Amino acid sequence: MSLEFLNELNPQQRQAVCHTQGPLMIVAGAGTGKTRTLTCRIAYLVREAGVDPANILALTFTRRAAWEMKQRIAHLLGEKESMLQEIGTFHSVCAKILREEIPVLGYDRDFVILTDEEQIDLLREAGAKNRAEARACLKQISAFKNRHRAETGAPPLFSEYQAALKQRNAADFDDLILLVLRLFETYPEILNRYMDRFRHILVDEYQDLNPPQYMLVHLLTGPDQNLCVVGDADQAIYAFRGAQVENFLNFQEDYPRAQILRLEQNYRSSPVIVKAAEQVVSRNTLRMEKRLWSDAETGERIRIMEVGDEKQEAGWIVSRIEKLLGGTSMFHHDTDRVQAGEDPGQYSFSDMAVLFRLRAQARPLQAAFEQAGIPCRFLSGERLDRRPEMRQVRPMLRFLADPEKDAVLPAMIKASLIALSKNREQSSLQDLIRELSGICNLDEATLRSLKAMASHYPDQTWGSALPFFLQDLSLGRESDLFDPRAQAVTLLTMHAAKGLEFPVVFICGLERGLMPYARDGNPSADEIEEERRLFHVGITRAMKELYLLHARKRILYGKPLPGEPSPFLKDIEEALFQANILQKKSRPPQKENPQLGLF
Amino acid sequence: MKFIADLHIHSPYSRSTSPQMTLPNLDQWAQLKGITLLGTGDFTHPAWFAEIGNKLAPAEEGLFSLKESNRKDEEIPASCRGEIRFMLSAEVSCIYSRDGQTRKVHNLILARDLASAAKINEALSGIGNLKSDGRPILGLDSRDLLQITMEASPENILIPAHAWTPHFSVLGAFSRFSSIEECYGDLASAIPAIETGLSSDPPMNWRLSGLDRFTLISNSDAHSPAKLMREANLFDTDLSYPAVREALRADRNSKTFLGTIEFFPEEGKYHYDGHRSCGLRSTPEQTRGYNGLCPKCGRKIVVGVLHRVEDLSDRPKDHKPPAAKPFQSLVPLQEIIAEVFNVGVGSKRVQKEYMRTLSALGNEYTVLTAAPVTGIAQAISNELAEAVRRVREGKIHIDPGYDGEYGKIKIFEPEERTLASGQMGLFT
Repeated sequence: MSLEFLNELNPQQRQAVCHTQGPLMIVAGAGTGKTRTLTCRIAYLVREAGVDPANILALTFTRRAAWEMKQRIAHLLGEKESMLQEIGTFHSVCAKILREEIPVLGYDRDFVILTDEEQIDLLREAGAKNRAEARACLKQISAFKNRHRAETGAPPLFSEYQAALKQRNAADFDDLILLVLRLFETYPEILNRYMDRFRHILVDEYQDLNPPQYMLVHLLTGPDQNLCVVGDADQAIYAFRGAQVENFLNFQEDYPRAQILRLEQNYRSSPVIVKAAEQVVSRNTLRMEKRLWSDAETGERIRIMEVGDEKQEAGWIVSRIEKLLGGTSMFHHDTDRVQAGEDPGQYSFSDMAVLFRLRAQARPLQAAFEQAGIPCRFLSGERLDRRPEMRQVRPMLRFLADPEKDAVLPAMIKASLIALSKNREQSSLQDLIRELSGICNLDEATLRSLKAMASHYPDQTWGSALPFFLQDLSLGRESDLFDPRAQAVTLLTMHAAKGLEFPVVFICGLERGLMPYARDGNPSADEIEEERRLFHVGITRAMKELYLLHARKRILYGKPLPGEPSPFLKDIEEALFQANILQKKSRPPQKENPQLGLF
Repeated sequence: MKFIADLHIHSPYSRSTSPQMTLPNLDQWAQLKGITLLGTGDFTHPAWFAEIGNKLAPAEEGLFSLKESNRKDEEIPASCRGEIRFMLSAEVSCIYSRDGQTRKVHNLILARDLASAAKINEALSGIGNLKSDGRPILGLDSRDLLQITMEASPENILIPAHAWTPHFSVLGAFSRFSSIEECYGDLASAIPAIETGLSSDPPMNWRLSGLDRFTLISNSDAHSPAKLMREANLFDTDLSYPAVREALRADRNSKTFLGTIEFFPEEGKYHYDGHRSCGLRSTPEQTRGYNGLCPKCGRKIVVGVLHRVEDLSDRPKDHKPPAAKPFQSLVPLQEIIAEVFNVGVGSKRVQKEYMRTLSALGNEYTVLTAAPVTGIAQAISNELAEAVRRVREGKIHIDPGYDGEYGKIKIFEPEERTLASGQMGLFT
């Protein structure tokens, strides 16, 4: 039995790993080795404390985090495949419980999880006058569900909508957790079974739990209170989804026996970056005292760039990336845009990320990268089923999964699908998707996405794989589609950047009105604190180089912003950064091949 | 049959490429040059791929010819006319990091047929953007590109492009791979050949025993029609994709791949070391003397091809492996004419004289290698005849290229020119 991994932990991490009984809160600042601590803890529970892997439940916020933890634990335990069954997101774990238990609530086991579009259709049937109203209703319903038993009454059409869902044997995304709550509250014997099974519960990103998730964790926590939560109040950024950072701050009140451990040594970022991040977030009031530090080499000073507008912002970022790579085409060398002899260094495209506040900021960046021919991908964090192409395919896949079900499909297509069904026990999911593309003319991107998703089921017939595949499509995110071989610059919102790290980070649009974002009018004090945490999250993604950009002119949703730098920038002490101003047209316009823009 | 093949060129969809690189123009210029088999270039670009499908018709197995309706035969001197074939080719710029270092490698891909090329395009479009550049930049490891290429068809071919140039090549000073195997790993054995690039010639490559198993090929990497065939390959085999592939893979003793047409390597842009912005040209030895740093600006000197070859070589300078293929070093005819007239290579006068020469004597390859010197003197001028003779004998002077600056060819000494006109007075 090897516990060598303990030697690689710092004292606080080791303490957290070896704490196996009773409630534990790990306050883990950004980049302090949280995932490592969590995974080592699980390995330790299995190896040293003799806990049966089946008795461990680990809840994460993203599928990616779950997957990464599984890999790391398997590696620590020297296994090829992780023995741990129950590492997953709240939604996927709940979906799995419901597939077993839902009949007592009056649904069939093969209930469907609706897409946004389907929810809107359902609301229109339930009485919404038009799509816009249905969409507004949906927003309110989701907010209502995520606040769970809020004092305010149910929004309009709520009960009609819920009845329609049930009648269709369907659930929406939020219901997955609410149904499990109802299940556990109504049937204590079922709860007891799960409580008995999940004797050790670990919850990641505890500060981002919304009330239903919070309640679920507390219901499931057994009398031994073997509950370990990990989080960082300074990274709580999901208030808009109903998350309550207070849950995090009150852990000790909920569990008076709780031990609290702090991870404060940052291993990710240079001391300059860590300091700046601390200076920004320490202006907040709602936080738990902790002091991030790093003993790495001081590192490069942060660059604060003032640019003319969003176009110049995008252009500057692109040329900086080209420079960091020592030029990406002969053009740079022939035109001296890259200094001769400049070392291409160590980076690849995937070492760089561009962060911003709003998805709407992605467009000019994408255009600039496209024009320069530099691979980039916009990680919008969007759910897969919100992608238009998925809307086209899902009804067909559903119909194939269960032809008895009523499906709104043209008769011609239905007939072709019925013909296809004959192969359900012979051909693979990949074959099925190829056949489908013949029936309904799937475009290239859709085909590629579906094939990437289907590659997880290489050895199964599509008859057996389809239910799981449908669930993947419901719970998946677009990041699941990217080819892992492709290195590209990542464009993403600061929200989507949570949990990620990149050697080089650009944060753009750091202007008043955009950071903190003023949705309508002036943000409240609470909102400003949340925005400041978001900026803190953004800064702490950077490992070596950090660039903060603000523009003198920007149009956002058709309205001009004041063009002043974000007040948050003032919180960073001058010794940590170098500020530059880029005048308009400081670089002569590039003379490139005129055809390039056409395609 | 014997024929000349230039397999690496670019379409107008590639950056800094002339809009003149259309398929009809390529067909025309290949005839002027004496090429029989030409790469299409850029099959990864959707618009160019569509154009290939529209303007070319299938010919011999895996090869294509320009459809009759697109031909410009009337603009081609009768002395040069020939049948041109195209082979699907593309170049991909792989920029990635491996083992904590940035790697930038250009790879040439030859595709078996349209279906195999389409498969490659489909796979690569999932990796990156193929539309913004005819030579796409992908964040893909060269090894994975090779895998994708071979999965699309086992008969596809991947060849490391201009293998020695400093910035974008497998063995270049900045990518820092020290062998083909290090870069392509477990799949390296699928690579039959390397492209030696303008700044190196076969004898330089012979100095690495690790390259003995590769066929050393040469292509123009042309971005404008006049640059076609500045380097090219000589085959003696059937005109078909499978035959060309076999020739590239064949044992060195086979006579299906005859050898290459070469630039004088000194004329290449990266033969020596140096700093263009500082006007510093240095030999490898001088660079070592400077400890690799520019004496003018203090930054790193761009290490050229000769230097890099010396660093990686395990054989002395004059080593010639058994069964090494022969090669001919040439200077493009337009450059020779420009030198004769002592004017710029792009000038009208050079173009006119070039066409007059081809009309009288045949395609450029014939003029450069086969036309009798006396014949050139009679048909065109004594000066051109003398210049061609000197090029054939290698009796020319070149200021070697460095850091992106082409080498400067001098065929005649200043004192050979009359003072009055600046032109040749040698034989008048």
